[in-house]
Amino acid sequence: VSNAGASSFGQSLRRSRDRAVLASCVVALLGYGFSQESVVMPALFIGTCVLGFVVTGRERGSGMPRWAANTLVGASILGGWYLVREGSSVVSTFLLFLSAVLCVKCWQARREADAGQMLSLAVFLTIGSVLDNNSLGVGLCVLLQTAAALWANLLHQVQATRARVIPDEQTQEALVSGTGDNDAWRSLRRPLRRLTILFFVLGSLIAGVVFVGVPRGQLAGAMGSMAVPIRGRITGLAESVDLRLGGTISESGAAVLEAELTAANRAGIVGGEGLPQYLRARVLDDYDGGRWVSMVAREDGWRTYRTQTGIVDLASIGSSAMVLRISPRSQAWGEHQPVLTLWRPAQADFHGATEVRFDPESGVIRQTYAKDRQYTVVCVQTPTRERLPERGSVSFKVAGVRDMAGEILRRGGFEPDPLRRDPEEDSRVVRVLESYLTANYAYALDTPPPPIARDPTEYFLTTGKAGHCEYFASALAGMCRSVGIPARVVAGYLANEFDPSTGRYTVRARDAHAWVEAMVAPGVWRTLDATPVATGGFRAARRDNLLSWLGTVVGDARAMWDSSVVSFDFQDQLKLFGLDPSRRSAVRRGVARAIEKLQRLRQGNPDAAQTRPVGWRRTSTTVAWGLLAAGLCSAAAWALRRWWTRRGTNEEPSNPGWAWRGCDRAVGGLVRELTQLAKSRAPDRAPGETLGAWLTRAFAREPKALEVVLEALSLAESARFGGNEHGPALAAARERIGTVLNARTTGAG
Amino acid sequence: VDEARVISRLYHFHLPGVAYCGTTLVLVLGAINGQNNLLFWIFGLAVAGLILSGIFSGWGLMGLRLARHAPAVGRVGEPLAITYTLRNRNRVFPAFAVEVRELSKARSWTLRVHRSAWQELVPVPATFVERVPRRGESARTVLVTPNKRGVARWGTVRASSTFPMGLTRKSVTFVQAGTTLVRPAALEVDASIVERVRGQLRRRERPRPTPDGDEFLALREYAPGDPLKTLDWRATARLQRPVTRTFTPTRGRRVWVVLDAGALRWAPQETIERGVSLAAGCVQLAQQHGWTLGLAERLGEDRLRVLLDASERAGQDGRVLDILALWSPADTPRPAQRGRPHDGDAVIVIAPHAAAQPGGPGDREIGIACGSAGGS
Repeated sequence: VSNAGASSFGQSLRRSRDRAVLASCVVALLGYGFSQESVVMPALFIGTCVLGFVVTGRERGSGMPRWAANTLVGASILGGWYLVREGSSVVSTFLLFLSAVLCVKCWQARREADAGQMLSLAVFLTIGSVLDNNSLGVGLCVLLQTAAALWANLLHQVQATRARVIPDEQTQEALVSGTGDNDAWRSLRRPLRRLTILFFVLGSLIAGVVFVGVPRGQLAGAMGSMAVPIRGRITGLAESVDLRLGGTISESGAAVLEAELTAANRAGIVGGEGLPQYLRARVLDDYDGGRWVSMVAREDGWRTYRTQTGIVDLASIGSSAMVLRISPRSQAWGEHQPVLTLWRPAQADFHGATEVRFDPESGVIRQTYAKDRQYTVVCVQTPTRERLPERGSVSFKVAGVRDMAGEILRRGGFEPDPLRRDPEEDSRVVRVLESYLTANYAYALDTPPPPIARDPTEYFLTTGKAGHCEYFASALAGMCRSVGIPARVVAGYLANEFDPSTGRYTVRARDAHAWVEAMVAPGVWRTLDATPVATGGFRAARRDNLLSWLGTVVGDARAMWDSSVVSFDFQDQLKLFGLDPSRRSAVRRGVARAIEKLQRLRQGNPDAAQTRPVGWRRTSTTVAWGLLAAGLCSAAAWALRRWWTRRGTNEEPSNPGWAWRGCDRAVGGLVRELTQLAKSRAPDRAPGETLGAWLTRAFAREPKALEVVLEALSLAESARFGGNEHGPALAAARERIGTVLNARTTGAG
Repeated sequence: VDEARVISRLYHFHLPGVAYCGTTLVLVLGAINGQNNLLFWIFGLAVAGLILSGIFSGWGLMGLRLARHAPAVGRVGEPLAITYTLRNRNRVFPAFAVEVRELSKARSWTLRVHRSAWQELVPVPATFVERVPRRGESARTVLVTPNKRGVARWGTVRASSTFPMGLTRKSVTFVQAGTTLVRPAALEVDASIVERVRGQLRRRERPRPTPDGDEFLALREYAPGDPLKTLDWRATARLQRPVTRTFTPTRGRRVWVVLDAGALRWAPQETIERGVSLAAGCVQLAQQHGWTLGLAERLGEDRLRVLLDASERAGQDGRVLDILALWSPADTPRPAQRGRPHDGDAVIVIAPHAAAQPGGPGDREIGIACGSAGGS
C-alpha cells in the first residue's frame, strides 16, 4: 500500500481534469462572445471563471459556500426573467444566464459532482451559442469544444469512478492498494490522449456523415421559430430599418438565393459582372424616430389572391418588362415574406398553389406559404395603379436634416423650396444630394448606436458621418423629402455576384442592402444609392477596410464557411450525391402530392386540401410536438419507475451488521427465535399459516407469554421498515420473552 | 487461482444517458425545424458520441476476466486483504476506469440467481482500476475490515465502467465461489483470571490416580476415595490386597473455556458478542501461557456440551477460534465431540453477569469466572 503514490496519482488526475473542465468553460464563453458579437461581457466572464478556478483550486473545499452560490443562481434566474419581460431575446438571455451560472460554479467550493455539472453547462452554452448564431467563430468554438469536452469527459469518467470507490482519500485511500502513482498517471495519460484524438477524428467523421446525410428542407419551421439562428442569416427581408441598432448588418456569406434575369421579349439574359441589380423586397415610406417602416403594412392595404395554379396577374406587361427568376437557397423564410422583384411586379408564377398578397401602392408582393419554392416575377418599370404622392406635399420632420439639405442645394445653386423650383430640376437635385453623401461620408459597419436623445439620421449627417447603407438611405430619403421630392427607403438585396457560366446572380446574406427611390417626375421613381461602396460590393469593401492579409484570410474563411456549411442545403446534398438538382422539384412534388392525399383522406375535401396547405403545417407541428412530448414523458416515466423500483432496495448493501449499526440482524434473530418457540410448542405449521397465527396456536394455553411474543413479533415486523431506532425496543422485547419464559420454567408465573 | 466465470454482460442505462438521449432528440428536432446547419453538425457529434460510447465501452469490457484471491481466514477488526486480478484479453482496446465491486446477488444469462453472504460481515469490497492494458493484467488489493464474525461466502463480483462518455454503465458480472471465515475479535481478559487459572493449574501438579491419564505410571496401595475402575484387579488378586493403578497427568495444562449458552440465549446480541470475544481473548491467553485449550458450552444446570476437546495438536487455538466464529447460544444440534474436562482442569466460565437483573442497567455486562472442573 502506497499512500503517497496513490495520493499523487489522485492529485494529478484531479488537477488535469479540472484544467480540462476550465478549458471547456473558456471555450464555451468564447463561443458565447462570438454568438453575441460582443467582447466585453465574454471577457468579463472568462476572467471571472479563470480567477475563480485559481482561487478555489488552491485549497480543496475552499470557495464560495453553496448557499451563497445558490442565492446568486436564484438572482440570475430573476434577472433573466426580468430581461425577457423587458423584451430581450429568450435565447440570448438564457445564454447570459448560463454564463453567469458557470462563473458562480467556478467560485463555488467544489465537489466531485460539480466538475460534471460545469462540463454539462459548458456544452449547453456552446449549443445555445449555435442556436443564436452560425458564424465562423461559433463554428470554431464548436470544434474546440468538441476536443476540450472530450478530453475533460474522459478524465472526468476516470476521476468520478475513482472518487465513487474512494470517496475520502484521506482515510480511504489506504484501503485500496496499488491505485497508482506518478508512473501510473503517466501511463494512463498517454493512452487517454491517443483515445481523445481517435474519438475526435472518428466523431468528426460520423458527424460529417450525419451532417451530409440528414435531408434538408423537410419539416422546416414546423415548430415555429425554435432553433432558427437569429444572427448571421437573412437581414434583407427585415420588416423595418431601425437606425438605433447601430452596426447590425449581417456579414454572413451564406447564399440566400439565386436570381436569374431575362428580358420578357426573350432577348436573353440580362446583367453581368460589374452590373449589380437591386432586388426590392420592402418599401419603407414612413419615418418615425429613426425607424423606417412601411405605411401600407395595415391589413386593408393589401389585396389577396388565392390561386391553385400559382400564376397571379397583377398588371399588363409592357415591352420593357423583365423576368426575374428566384431560386431560394436558404430555408429561413418565414410566412408572408416579400417576393423579390426588380421593379414593379406585373405577373408572378409560383409553380403551385399559393396565396399571394399584393400592395398596389408600393408594388410590394408577398407570398404566404411557398417559402422555399422557386418563383418567377415579371417586372415592369411603369406603374399602373399606383396612387402617387404630390410633389411638394412631402416633408421631413427633422430640422437638422432639412437645414442640411437646403444648405447643400443652395451651395449647388438650386432652390430648396419645391414650389419655387422648376420640377425639371428634381432629377438633378437628387443626384446632387446623392453625390454629396457619397463624397463626404464614410462607409462603416462597426458604428456604435447613436445617442438616444438625438435623431439617428441627423446624428449621422451632422456628427457621426459614418455608417452603413441604412444610414445613407435614410439620410438621402430624408433630404429628398426635405426639399419636397417624394422619396422612400427600399430594403432588399444588391445582387452583384454574377456567374457567367450559369447566367445567375448568387445573392448572399451580406448583400442585404437599403437604398432610395425618389420620384423625379410624376410616376417616375428613380433608384438612388448614396452608399459609397455599394456598386463595388461589400465584400471588396471589407477587404479594403481591413487592409491586412489576415483580414483577407479571415474573410475568405468566413465566405467558405458560410457557403459550405451554413448554407448547405438540399441542392448541395443532391450535388454531393451526384444527383441532378433538377430532380429536387420532382421529389418535392411527389412528397407534396402524398401529403395532399393524406390531407384529403383526413379532411374529405379535396379543394380544401389544395387551397389550404396550412393544414399540413398544423399537422406536422402537432405531430412533432407530440413526438417530443411523448419522448419526454416516456423518459420521465422510465426514470420514475426506475427510481421507484430501486427505492428501498439495496442491491449492494453497505454494512447492516448489527454489532456496529443497523438492526437487521436483530430483527432476523428475533423472528428466528419466535419461530423456534412456536416450533417447540406446535411442531406442525399449517401451510400458509402466518407466524402470528402459529404463535397464537402454540401459546394458546399461555396467555401472558402469548401477549409478549405477539408484541415482539409486531415490533419485529415494524422494524423491518424502520431504522436503527427500533434496536432498543427489539432488545427489550427479547428480554421480556426471556423473563416470561424463565418465570414459567421456574413456576413463578 | 482459477478465473471467475462470466455470468452476464449488461448495459445499465442511468440518468445521464437518458438526459443525453433526450438532448440529442431535442437537437435533431431543433435542427430540422430551424434548418440550423451547425445544429445538424452538433447532432452528428451527439450521434457519434452514442456510437463510439457503445462500441468502445462494449469492446473494452468484452475481453475482461477477473480472479478473486480472498484469504480463508480473517478476524473482526483486522484488515482483510482481497486481491482482484483483472486480465484483458482484448487485442485492440484497453479497459479504462473499471470499478470492481462485490455483489450480494446477481442474475445470470440463464436467469439463475447467484447469491453471496458477506454483506453482514464486511463492508462492500470495491476497488478501482484506472487501466487494464490490452492483453495485459492489473491487480488491486482491497483492504476491508470485518465487523462481525461468521462465514463470508463470496459469490458474484461485477466489473463495470462508465467510460468513455458516461452515458451508460457497462458491466461484466463474474461468479467465483469462495469463503472467508471471520474469527471473533479478542477482548482483553482481566489479569486476575490469569492468576486464578495459574493457581488452579499448580494445584493439580501432584499426580493423582486417574483413569483419564495419558500414560500408566505405577501401582500403589488403594486409598479411600479412589475410583473402583482404577483398581488393578489382576495385581490385587496376586498381592491379595487392593492395588490401584496410577497414571501420569495429562501433558500440558488444560484449560476449558465454557460459554454459558443457556444464560446467553436470551441476552442481548451485544452481550453474546462480548462473551464470544472474551472467549477469543482466552485463546490469546492460552497462546501466551502455553495452556491446552478446550471449548465447551453449558446448556443448563447440569448439561455441558464439549465443542472441542482440549488437545495439544497443532492448530488447536485456530480450531477454537473457528468454532467461536460460528458459535451461537441457540440450542441447535451439533455433532458430538469426544472428551470432557478432567478433574483439576482449569475452567473459565463466560456468562452474563450474575448480579445483573434482566432489564437493569448491568444486564449487558458479561461475567467471567474461573474454577476447577472438579468443583462447583
